[in-house]
Amino acid sequence: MNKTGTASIWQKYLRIREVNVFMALVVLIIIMSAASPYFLKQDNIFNVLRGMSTIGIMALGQTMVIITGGIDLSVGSLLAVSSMLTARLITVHDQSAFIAVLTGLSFGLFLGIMNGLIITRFKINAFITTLGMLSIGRGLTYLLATGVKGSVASNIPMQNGFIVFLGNGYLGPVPFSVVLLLILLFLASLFLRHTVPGRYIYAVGSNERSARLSGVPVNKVRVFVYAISGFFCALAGIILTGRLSTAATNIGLGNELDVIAAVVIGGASLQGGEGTVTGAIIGATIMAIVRNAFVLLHIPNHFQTITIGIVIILAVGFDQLLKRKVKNL
Amino acid sequence: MLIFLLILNYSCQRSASHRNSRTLPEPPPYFSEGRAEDQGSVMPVANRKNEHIKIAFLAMETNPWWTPVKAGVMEAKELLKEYNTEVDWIVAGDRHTADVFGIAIEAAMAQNYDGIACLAGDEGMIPFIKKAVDAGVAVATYNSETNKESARAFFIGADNYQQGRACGEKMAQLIGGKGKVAIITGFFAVEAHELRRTGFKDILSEKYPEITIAGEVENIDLADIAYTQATDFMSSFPDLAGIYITASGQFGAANAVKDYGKKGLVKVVCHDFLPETMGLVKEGVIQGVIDQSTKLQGRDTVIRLYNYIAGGIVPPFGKLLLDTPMATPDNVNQYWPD
Repeated sequence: MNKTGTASIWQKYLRIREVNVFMALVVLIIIMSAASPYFLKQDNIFNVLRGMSTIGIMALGQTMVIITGGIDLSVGSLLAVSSMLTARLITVHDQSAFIAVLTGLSFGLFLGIMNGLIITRFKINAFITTLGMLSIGRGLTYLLATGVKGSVASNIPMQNGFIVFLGNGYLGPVPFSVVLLLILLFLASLFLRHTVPGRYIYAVGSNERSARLSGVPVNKVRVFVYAISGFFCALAGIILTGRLSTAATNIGLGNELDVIAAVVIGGASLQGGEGTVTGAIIGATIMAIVRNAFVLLHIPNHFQTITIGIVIILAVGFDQLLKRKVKNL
Repeated sequence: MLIFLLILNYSCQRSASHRNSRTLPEPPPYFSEGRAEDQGSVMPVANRKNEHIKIAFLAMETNPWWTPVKAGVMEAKELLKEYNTEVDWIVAGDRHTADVFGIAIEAAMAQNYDGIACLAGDEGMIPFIKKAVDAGVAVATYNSETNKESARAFFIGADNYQQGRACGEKMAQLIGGKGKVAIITGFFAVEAHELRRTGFKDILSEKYPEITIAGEVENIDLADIAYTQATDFMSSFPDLAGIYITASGQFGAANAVKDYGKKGLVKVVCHDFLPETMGLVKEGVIQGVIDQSTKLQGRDTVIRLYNYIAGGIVPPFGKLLLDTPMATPDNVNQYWPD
């Protein structure tokens, strides 16, 4: 094969956005495997994947939001409020798990729709709207947590078998939450790549004006992505409640940064129009492996926080470097 | 508008002169510390001038830790009703940092409180406390304060360093003085958590050379992160003997031990008597929970603050250290009946 042909194939592969970030993941896995004999153990791999599954599920929705050029800062709070609502319905109001889960998911969806409607109808910046919703969601969580014991927010224990299974159950050797994440990843990827609404999401983020002129229902698309984000947050919240056997008032605190970091590491552009759900899940996995490395490699205390920052910059920088290389080929 | 400003100015001067007319006694030396004999049983003294006294207890309501604190404040409030004293539980915000609690102090001063109880784990609180004390308001701190001296009258809380040492001693007993132990701390940047962590490590290095630290990570007080970290420790150190959690999210780590099938094999030692932790002690998943007499941090702080203002009673120490009982599966019912 001649040089031009090789370059062309190389170029073709590197244009697939996930490939760059996947290569970063492979490098990280090789380093970790060499550094710790425990890293590739089945137990450890599933622990890492289970740990990242809730961030991953939220990253699916956040990716769609970011592709449209928006941002959802309220994810951690929406996770918390749905978790608390579901737990409260079961533990305090004796509702069935089915009703409680359905209500929790619907409430996440509803708050997501509210985000979308406020952004599109009142033309309030997504950053501000979802920042406001972050506060509202956390406040609602505290509100739902009170009344159980006085007016101080209390955690609600959760022993319901179905909810515990969602967070802690296994299908064969694989944690259920990981299986669910993979199914959702497949569906979301299919949706974004092969359906008209999926292509609309990219169109809105690439050039809103052109999309509007081409007949794309821009506002509906925007409301839709925030609704999906809210729904996925609620699902992640219910899974986390099961894993911890508790709906905690501080659950999901600060998750917005992890979720956005995963999406951006995965190759999405904060300007909109670019990004894939597969990339986001790879990004979330990279973050989870780095946290796993803190334990496996005995990384000293204060270097742990520094490491997270370095990995985010390196992963995105690696992606940019490869992109420039491809252009120059 | 001018009339309004004049009235406002008059009211401010009046309230300031009301506070300044009271001479607060000299507080005990800042760094003196010890256990008060009347811990938990301190009662209000006579209100010498029978003046109306207002005390603000600045708090948060964001997690279950506050439930016993509030119960203690409410108990003190009931006791002080007979002494022409009003006690208000004020939720300062959702963070115990100076930007939140400092503003709450200023707001309490504007509302003419005679005494303020607050957390002061952040050095940024020092100027706010000074401002209040300079204005004639008595300030007491509870639960946490920095080592840098402030103008507060006294502090009530547990000794975090000694709590860490006690947990280290308990862990060493549980694992027979040897093995690997993991530490999950709330925040590396929070002084109280650091004191517990260093206390835990110090006792192990001083008395138990055969115990090694498998790793130290921060879970930012979140149970889900503690869960993942505990699982990581157990999978990467199959011979892990114990896990010590310095702050919140304890039940996350304990649930991980249970789910991993290591209940009783990996010993768990953590802090605070809470429904989540005590339930897991009863199940045998957690082997040691140390408390910090949380209710007394509300009750005693308010009553001693009243006694200081109304009766000029100076506490015996600048730092009044509370008892720190340890609940284990053997004695848990004594502290947490079914």
